[in-house]
Amino acid sequence: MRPKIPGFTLKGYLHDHVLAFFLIVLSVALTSLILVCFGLSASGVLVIEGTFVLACAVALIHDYLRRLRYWEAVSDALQAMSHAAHINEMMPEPTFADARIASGVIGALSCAYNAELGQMRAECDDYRRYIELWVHEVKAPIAAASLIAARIPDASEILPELERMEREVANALFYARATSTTFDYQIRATELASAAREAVRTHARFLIQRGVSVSFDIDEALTAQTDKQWLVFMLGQVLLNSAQYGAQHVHMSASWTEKAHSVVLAVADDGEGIPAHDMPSVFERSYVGENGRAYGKSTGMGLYLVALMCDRCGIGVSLTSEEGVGTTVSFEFPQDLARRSVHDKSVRQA
Amino acid sequence: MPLIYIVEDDEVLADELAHLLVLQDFEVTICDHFDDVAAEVASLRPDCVILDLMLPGADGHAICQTIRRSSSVPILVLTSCADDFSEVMALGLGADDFLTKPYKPHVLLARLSSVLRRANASSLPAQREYLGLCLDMNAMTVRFAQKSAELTRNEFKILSILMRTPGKVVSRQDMMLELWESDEFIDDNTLTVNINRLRKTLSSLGVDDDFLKTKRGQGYYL
Repeated sequence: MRPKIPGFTLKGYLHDHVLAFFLIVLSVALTSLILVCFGLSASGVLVIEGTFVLACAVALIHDYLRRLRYWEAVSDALQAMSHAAHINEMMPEPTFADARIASGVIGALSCAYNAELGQMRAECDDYRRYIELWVHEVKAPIAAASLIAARIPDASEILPELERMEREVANALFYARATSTTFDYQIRATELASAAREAVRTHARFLIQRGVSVSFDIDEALTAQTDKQWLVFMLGQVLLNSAQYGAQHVHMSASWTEKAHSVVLAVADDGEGIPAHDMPSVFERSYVGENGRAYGKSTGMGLYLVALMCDRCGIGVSLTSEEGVGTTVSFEFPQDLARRSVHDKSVRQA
Repeated sequence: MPLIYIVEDDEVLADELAHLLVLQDFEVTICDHFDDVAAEVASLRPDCVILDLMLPGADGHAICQTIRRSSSVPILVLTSCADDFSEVMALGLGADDFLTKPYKPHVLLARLSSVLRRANASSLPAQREYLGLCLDMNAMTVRFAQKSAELTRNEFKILSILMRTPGKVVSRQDMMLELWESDEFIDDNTLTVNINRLRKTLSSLGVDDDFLKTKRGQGYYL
């Protein structure tokens, strides 16, 4: 929300020059009186005072118009800018002394702001790069621990914990990527069916442990222009939510219709659903609804991350839910991202 | 016995990987310096190379390329960097498959066998045998005393998992996990149905009814 900036008005200008007007009127009255006392004729007094008033009026009107033009240009520039801090680029040439000061101050502020912004961006990027590096580093000991656990009898209980660790580490990585100032993903034609299966495989242990069964109804030939890793991660977040909140079955479906303007990949579960009063906030950061509090293991980051990532990839995401019936999360790929590859289909049939 | 050559800088990880592979009847050599991996591969002539892409002071991609120049040995690439870029690069450089850390042991084994199978069918045992029951790994058939029967994909998978470690109890969860890993997303009931069908097939071959045993609350074993 941009703060309201007062415009330059005639009323304001007159108000600023009350003293000048008062002095002009006073001096006209005084000099008229003196000239009359010296015995000058009425028409003579009128000519002299008229000349004086005209000169003052011209000077004031000129000053007013100059200021009006300048401040209107400033206000236009401000409106044209998406960000108030960029105003410096479009400031009009100052035509009077105080405008030069204002211009200088704005320039200095803008400079300082941009320098600080640049530094903070660099720091953010450094930090993000460190997180990415750290995530890759920490994966080696997790892998080693999983291998050790796999060969120790009776250590099977540690495997789900290691996988949980892995999931949290992946969350950190994708959070760093999704909030990065640089565009950090690789877009290519991704088979939706394959991405869906990969997401299920990634979280297989958790899903099986929770007794969740999975079914698919996704056209094998459907592809979308997106980053597969991102899509798999997002589908994974939705699957984890389903398993977390009491689903027994998850159905993943996507179909193609010639007329439709998009392809929708839907993940529907038969879990306990989301209370209506929590619905408007499900995609908000750190929002833990009634269900989340009841289960006590929710961080409120999952769907927030999904929404953030969808926003960056140009994918639409929506959620519908009915308490006691289930929840459906739909990923909508706009038509220019989605394809149904005819070639693939013919190969499969042959 | 297939020889696997491990190129991995994390010592703990390399040792554990070796341990896992030895348990699965592989022979293993761990690379201890990364200066001339290609020459060592040429002299050892392993059946498969497991290569970590991120090595200190050496570029995994370059190693992959050099090995490929002089040898057609299957290369299974490991990395903690899940970017598609590395994947495409590695595959373009001649790697046969790709796995991201942290990998699950059974996934690694599955990928390793499929790489080996593709490279050279004879380097993997074409059949598993236990108490006279013979499982053909290529034809997905089971043979017992002159009689043989065909198995469905799931039945074959289940039997091969059990025959891999006879005597060891495999939990229902672990079994489902392995089936899911090969895109057979069966649920609990389907597993029961498959086990029952498998038992019926085995008994029709004349196998002892006690061959496939249930350990209550734990799982199945042979």
